[in-house]
Amino acid sequence: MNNLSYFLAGLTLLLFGLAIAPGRVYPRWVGLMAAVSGAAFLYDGAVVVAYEGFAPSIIKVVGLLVLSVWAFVMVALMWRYGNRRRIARLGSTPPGPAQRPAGTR
Amino acid sequence: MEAREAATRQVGGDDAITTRIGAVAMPLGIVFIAVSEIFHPAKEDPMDFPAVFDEYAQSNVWTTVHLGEYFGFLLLLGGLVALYYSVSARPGVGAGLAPFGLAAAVTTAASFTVLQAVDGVTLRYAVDTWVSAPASRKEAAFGAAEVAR
Repeated sequence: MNNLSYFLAGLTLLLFGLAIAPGRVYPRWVGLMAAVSGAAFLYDGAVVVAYEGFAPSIIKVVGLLVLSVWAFVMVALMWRYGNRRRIARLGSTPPGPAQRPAGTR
Repeated sequence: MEAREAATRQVGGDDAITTRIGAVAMPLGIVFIAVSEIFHPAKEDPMDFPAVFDEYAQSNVWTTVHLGEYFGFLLLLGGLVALYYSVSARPGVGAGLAPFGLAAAVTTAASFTVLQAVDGVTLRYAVDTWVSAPASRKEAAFGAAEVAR
């Protein structure tokens, strides 16, 4: 069960990393970090835990460290994206009833 | 471009708020997992089953540790679900891949639910049964604990 869960976690991170890597919303290197972390988890789940059991694995440690740094980097980037999106939405809000010309009543 | 972006926005919701919730959830998940790992029994070699089962049976926080880990993973995966909305906001390869990432995140959450239920609850009962079993039932109880492991 452990190997399947870590394999899936790795696959998820790898897919998100590859989705971010084209760099249209977030920087390319952030996507590469997620992809590296995902590949490490994927390998740990599919090879290390599956065939060697709970053996100490440097690859898992690397995956965990990269994931931790990535998650904290994403705080700033996602928060900034949220703010930009909100400002863009406020800028495109149609005028309310108070701005309607008096003659249209 | 703006019209295409608008078409990919979250239906019936606010993707700006979703993204910011995800920004908080992801590092919070890492903190939950890290703190839980500190309390996880880890003195014995994890492949030495008799020693490690004995250690687990003596732990008073076994289920709490696994609930903490589980909650941490859910927060982390929730953050990835939120990330989906921003990654898929602009058309391109990233937006094409993001739904597969979202599906994988949901599948992973389901897998961790089963993992923590087996590891945090079933294994706990199995090792307790093994420790307190009479000599005649010790072997069978150990086999059951090995399966749960």
